[in-house]
Amino acid sequence: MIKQWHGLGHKKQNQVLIIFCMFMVLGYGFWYMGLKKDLTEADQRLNRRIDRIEKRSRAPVAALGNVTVMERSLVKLTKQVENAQKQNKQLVKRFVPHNDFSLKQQLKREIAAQAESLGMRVKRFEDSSRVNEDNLTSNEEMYQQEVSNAFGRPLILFETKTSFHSLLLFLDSLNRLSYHVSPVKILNLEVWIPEDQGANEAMQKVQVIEVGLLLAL
Amino acid sequence: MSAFKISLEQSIALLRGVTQQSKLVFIFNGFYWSAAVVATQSKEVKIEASASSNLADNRAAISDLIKQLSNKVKRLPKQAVLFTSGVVTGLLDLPVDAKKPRPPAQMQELIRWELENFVADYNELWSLGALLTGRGYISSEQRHEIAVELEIRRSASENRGLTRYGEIAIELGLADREQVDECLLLQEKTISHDESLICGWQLQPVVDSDGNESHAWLCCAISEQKRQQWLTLFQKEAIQLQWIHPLSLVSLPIITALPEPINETLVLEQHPEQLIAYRLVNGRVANLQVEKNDKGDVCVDRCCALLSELLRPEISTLYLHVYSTDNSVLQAQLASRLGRDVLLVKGNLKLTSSLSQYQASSLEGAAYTLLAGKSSEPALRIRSQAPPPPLYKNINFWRYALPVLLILAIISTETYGRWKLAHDRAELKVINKKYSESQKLNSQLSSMNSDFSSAQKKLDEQRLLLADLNNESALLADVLLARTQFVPQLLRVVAQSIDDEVTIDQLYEPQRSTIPGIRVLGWAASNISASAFVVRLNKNLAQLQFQVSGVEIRAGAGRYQEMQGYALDFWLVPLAIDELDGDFFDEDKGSKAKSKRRAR
Repeated sequence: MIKQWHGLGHKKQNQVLIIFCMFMVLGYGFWYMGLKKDLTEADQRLNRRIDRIEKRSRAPVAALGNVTVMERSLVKLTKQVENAQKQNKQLVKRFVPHNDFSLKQQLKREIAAQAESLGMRVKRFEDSSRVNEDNLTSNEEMYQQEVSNAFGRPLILFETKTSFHSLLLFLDSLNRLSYHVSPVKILNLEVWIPEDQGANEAMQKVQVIEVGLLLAL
Repeated sequence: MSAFKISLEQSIALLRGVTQQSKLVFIFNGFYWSAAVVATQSKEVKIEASASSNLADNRAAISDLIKQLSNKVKRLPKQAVLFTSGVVTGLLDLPVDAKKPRPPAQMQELIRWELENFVADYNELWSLGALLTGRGYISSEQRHEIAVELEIRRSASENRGLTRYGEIAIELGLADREQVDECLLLQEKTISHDESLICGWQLQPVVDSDGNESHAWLCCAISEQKRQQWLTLFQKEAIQLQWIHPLSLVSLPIITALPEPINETLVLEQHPEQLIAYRLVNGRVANLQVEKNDKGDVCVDRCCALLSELLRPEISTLYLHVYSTDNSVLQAQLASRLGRDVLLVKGNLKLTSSLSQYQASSLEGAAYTLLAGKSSEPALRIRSQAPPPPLYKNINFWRYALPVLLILAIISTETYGRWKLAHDRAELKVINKKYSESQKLNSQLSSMNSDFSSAQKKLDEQRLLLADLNNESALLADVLLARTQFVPQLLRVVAQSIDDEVTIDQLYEPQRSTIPGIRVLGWAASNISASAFVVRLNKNLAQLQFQVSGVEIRAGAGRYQEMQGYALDFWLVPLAIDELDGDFFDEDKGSKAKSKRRAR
């Protein structure tokens, strides 16, 4: 074969070599197209995946705490709430149910009766909150409006003219009613002086005081 | 750079010396051939086989020698060196600094210029008579006889130019036509009229006994045409001729390789038609004389004359390397006439075939020359062909290199492509795995976060609820229930603190005050009683965790405007509250005064 090759001469050898090179280039060119396609596909798939990972795989921020510890705290807190509820219930029991109109009325009657029994001249005895009943659709709403104040209880404006002694007795008696009544505010406590009364006259009479109290039922 | 080059060459030479190399050595003295297979290793040289041939045709002679040698060795080397008398030699004094030789092209030109005459002289050596004598067809006397006859006929004849030496030899019956034709052919092959010479050179630095340093250039040359002929001849026999050496000075390596070093000596070499004498100082050629020897045998007188010119008192031994057979007579006569020891040049190598002393010594010398060629300082020689051009300039190289490069490129591209594909797929697999793990982890984290948020929400709700409950309880217990007790107690304490000189006019809790306090307005008959009242009241209030604050006492009328005294204005505030700001009381007083006026 080598002898045959040498026998070809330079020109034919060059021609053979050129044809061989062209054949190789073309042949491999066709072959490489398939490989190139695979390479491009693989590369694109890889890039897509990397892109997806970059865009979608952002790890969520881990919670800064331990759920177990938190659950333990929750159990503890629930117990505290239950205790507080019990305690609160006990306290609430001492006050008239704010949504029970009849009991409230009964309590008011007791207050009025007590004042009367002590000879107090009641000038004003009314609910402190001015409830606009036209706008209310239910009793519950009315009750809620009644207790929507700083003390969370229905409030009664109580004004009277009485002696200091009667006032003290009245205040003492508030503790003994069917439900607890609390004088949450002394709106006014003032010595009442008639215009025509002088000092000497005043000395001879029982001193009258004007009292304004805010009572929480 | 040059030092590096030298050390590199030395290293290569050393490396070469380690491995055994065999080469073919051919010697051609103009008439006869001899050859040997020479193996060199490190500093040892060995003649593995030798042969000789007296065929007139050079190609036939070479072929014959190769055949003979092939029979004696297992594997015949393909590389050869040739020692031929066709390479002329001369010791030249060139205008070249020994330490800075000129570039090869310049050296070549300088030497060529000097050796042109040597080549002309050499051509004259190969007369038909010399060749007929050398080939052994006529004797020296017959050669002389023919020459005399030729001279007579030329002088007698009118057209003297037509008389030829060969014709006279045939006419006289000393040689036949065939022999003359053979020698004419040989003459044609031996003589060259090509002016283009290829030269070789070797520096010969000489330090004489007085310590004087000098240098000369030992040079040789062969015509380009002859060189090409030798190369082609060997190529035809599938032998690669590497170097061409001069046959003269072939004895030099034997003498320098002698076990006992010789400082200074004289050597006489006789080659066909040539007498060469050279003086050797410390292995370097200090003088060289070349003379024509057309007598055939060695003439003692001529040798003595030649040697006497070069002889120095320090020289005690002379060496002979002669072509003629009666060298023992010459040896004895020279010794007696020059008064020195005369030895024959002879190495200690063993030869496998029976050769003449001259041939054996020549082969030995050639073998030692090969050994010297392995050292960093090669022997005097000429490259058998011009060095090949650089590979990148060789078109034949590119003819084959390009397809090979193309195939390599295809292989590399394919390999890289396959590797990249496999790599990408593997990477994708890994990334997919990581992605799914990451997703799983994210899902777990999200679930945990959700649980945590839910628990947190519940906890917050419970906390809020507890706070509400506590607030409500606090309101019920600490405010509503406590106020029922507190209000009457407070009024009693105030009442108990009043004496005859003090009256309380008004007591109230401001509805919009941010301070839980009770304002008290009163009157005292005197400042002292007012102060005493305040102190007393403050003391009594302590049991209720209250205190008097913001006290203001000023002169004023009583409630009936009949008695002058002191108006009292102060606050009852919880102990937890420090002394109140005066402005606060002022503001509240102002509002109260207004309300009082409105009431009246």
